Amino acid sequence: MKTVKFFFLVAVLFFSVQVFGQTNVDDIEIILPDINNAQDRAMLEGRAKELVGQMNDYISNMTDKNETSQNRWRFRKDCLGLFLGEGEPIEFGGVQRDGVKMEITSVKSGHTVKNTRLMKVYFTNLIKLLENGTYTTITITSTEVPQMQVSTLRKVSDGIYECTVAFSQKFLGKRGENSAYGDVTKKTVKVYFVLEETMLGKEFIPKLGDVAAGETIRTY
Amino acid sequence: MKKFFTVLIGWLFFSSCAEGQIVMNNELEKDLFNARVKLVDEFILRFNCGKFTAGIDTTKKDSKVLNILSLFDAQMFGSKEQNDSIFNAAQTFAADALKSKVKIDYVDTNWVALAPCHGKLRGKDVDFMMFLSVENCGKDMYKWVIDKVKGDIFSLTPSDTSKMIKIMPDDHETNFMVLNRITTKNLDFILNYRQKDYELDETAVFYTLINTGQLTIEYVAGLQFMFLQIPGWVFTIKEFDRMTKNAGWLITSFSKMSDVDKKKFLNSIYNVK
Repeated sequence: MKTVKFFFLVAVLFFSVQVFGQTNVDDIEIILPDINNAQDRAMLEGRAKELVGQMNDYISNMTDKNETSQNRWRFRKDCLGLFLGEGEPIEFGGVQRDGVKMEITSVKSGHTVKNTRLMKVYFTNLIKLLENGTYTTITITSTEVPQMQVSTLRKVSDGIYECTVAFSQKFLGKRGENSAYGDVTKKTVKVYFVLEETMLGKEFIPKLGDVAAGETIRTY
Repeated sequence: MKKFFTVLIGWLFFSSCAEGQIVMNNELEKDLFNARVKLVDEFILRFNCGKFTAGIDTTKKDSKVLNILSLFDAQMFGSKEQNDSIFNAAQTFAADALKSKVKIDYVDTNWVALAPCHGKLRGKDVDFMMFLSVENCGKDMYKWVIDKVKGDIFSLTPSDTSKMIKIMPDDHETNFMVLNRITTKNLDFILNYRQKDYELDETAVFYTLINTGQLTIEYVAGLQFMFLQIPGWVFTIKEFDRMTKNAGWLITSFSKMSDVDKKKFLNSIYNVK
């Protein structure tokens, strides 16, 4: 009886795999979202928020002391993969442009001052804050995806659309058990949807662009 | 209504208490973030009452007025002495906005970005103002365009306006050799040689300085947007970064403005004579 049950189970598993393996990739149809349709636009705007959520997850992982150094640098590479040109200079919309940047706002002697850094340099500096011992623990948390705010999707040119996602990010650096530095910053990030030819046909591929940071509010 | 508004503004402005705490409460963070007007798009949506500020009872008759009032920088109503007059004016503005049934829209041609730019002119720090507006550039396509730039660095004011600094009456007899001298020495005197009715276009000076690599813009600090869509009124918004529910893009100033004055202002921005 046990043997019968065993062979019956194997047969079920085997034929299930066979059925799955018969799916023909030619039968998969990508339907392009209609930008003029409010539902389709809302779907893309939702994807924009999810992409930003992914970026924030990578940023948290990059600065997680429980990760190996190798993994942290891999998260940095994977995160840059979410951006236009993977963070490197790129020709976009027919114009040559620098790698994507992070704009940082600070207030010095009552005056607002802004600096920009290449995103790849910003991520490197984040990892180094942990690896060079500036902090023993870094915790970076961000607004949950459903709470993020997204602007209306707008057409840039044929095949390129953009929107902006707003979120808040909290940074806490500790030395040992003591909190050494903490802040909260509101950020906005551009998200582009670029029509590209993929293996399955034409698709809108989302990519992140520049990030602007508002004034950092020190919490610790 | 005033009592409710006072309570609402107090709740919006003072409901933070986050600064100084080592760890912020997650629910507080969510509340603060949700209340904040995070994008200009969101300001437009809320102003048009497409979304209401949390805490406003939308079933109440005055909910829309309260919603617009919640988009003001609450610190404008901070002074007890000024409280009544500014508050009353804001109420009138909100009521007029609703009565007009005007919905402000991104694609409108009567709102303007005021971008204070910080840059470098030949390596020296400089500041100037740039005005931008939205322009249609195809079917369902828009872009921001530079309308006008204003700043002392573009006025090209000569350091010396002595009447002797001129192209002499007989210089035509020496093939206007003097033109080489006036364009190689004391360059800032150049406007002394212009025709008396010539009006300098500062925006053209800006474009030339950029084109020749002499001027760069490092960043914009203190971006504001001016809205002229509401009949009889003009208002400006700017972004407030603070840990209260009254934060983000908020109305920072508002005043009465006639259609004639609006047209004059827009014509000056769009270089229409």
